[in-house]
Amino acid sequence: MIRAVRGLLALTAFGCFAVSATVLPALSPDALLRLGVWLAAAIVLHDGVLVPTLQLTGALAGRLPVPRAAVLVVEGGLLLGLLVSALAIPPLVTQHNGPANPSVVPQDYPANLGLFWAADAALVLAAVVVITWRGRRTGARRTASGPPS
Amino acid sequence: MSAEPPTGGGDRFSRRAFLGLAGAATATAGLVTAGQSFEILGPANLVAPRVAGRGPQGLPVNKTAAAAGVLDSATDAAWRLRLDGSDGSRALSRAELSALPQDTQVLPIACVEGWTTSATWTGVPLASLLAGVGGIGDRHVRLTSLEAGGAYRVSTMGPEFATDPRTLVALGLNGAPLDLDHGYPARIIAPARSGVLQTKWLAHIEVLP
Repeated sequence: MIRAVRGLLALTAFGCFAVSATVLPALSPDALLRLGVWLAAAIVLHDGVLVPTLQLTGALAGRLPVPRAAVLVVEGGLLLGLLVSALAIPPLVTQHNGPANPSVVPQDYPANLGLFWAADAALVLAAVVVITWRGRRTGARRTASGPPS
Repeated sequence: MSAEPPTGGGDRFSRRAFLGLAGAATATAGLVTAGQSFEILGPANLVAPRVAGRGPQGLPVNKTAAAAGVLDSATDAAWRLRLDGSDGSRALSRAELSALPQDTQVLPIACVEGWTTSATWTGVPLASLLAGVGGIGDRHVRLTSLEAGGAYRVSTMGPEFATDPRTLVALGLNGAPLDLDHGYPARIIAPARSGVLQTKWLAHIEVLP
């Protein structure tokens, strides 16, 4: 099964490579360079920013007296916030450089990002409170009825 | 090599949690951007580069008339749409085009950038316009813009598009004359063609031999 999945993945990768080999020569050297930068930036963003931040947060939150599920919710909330922030980078850069016309990047992206982070944080906080409270109640009930023999 | 199943991120993250987070992340990324194409998700559009309905006449613009360098030629009173077919040629002013039987179609501009917006277009069906110069038959049609350059100044349309009764030489958009940035004095609008091929600021339409 695992071997079959690996084989399928390798075939898919080879298929993508074959398609790009026919498409990429049509791009200008400048466009190829920008494509390379874009792909490399995605890896740097994932491996250099997203994953270390989540690992660090998970390690720190793991020391707090909260259930494991609450730590997971904090990490999840952080992941969503970072992801939406990453999506806002291209429009913010375009806005900074001056858009081609007023219908391009017409939103107040910093304000929208703030709104998303605020809603995200509020939901995470509410979920952590509920999970911790339920965990303590269950723990207290177990203690009252005595440890299982 | 042993075929050991992956543990899904060590003992802190279960595989189910990992997949759940990946799914939530994908859904969120869709939710905060899809509003640029789906108006029902408009309120959740926080970071998309376009806003549905934002632009002249409620439609976003990719290339403006100024960027295309057609500000003068598109507003020139001497503008005529040249038609060439197997049965001769014609040149029609905007007033003459407006006097022909008009049709109205709701068709989307689907941009390769990722946004899509539907609009109501009014104009002369391309097939009936070209019937005056010998018709289309099974031939291709070449559309040329007033633009001096650019990769999409000229586009060629197969007979499956050109003879579709919904394909219009549009003169109006959402109940008003075409905005200059949407292709005034006349543009092509056809179903199921990408936005860059919906030639704006039309100058010349030829039925190819």
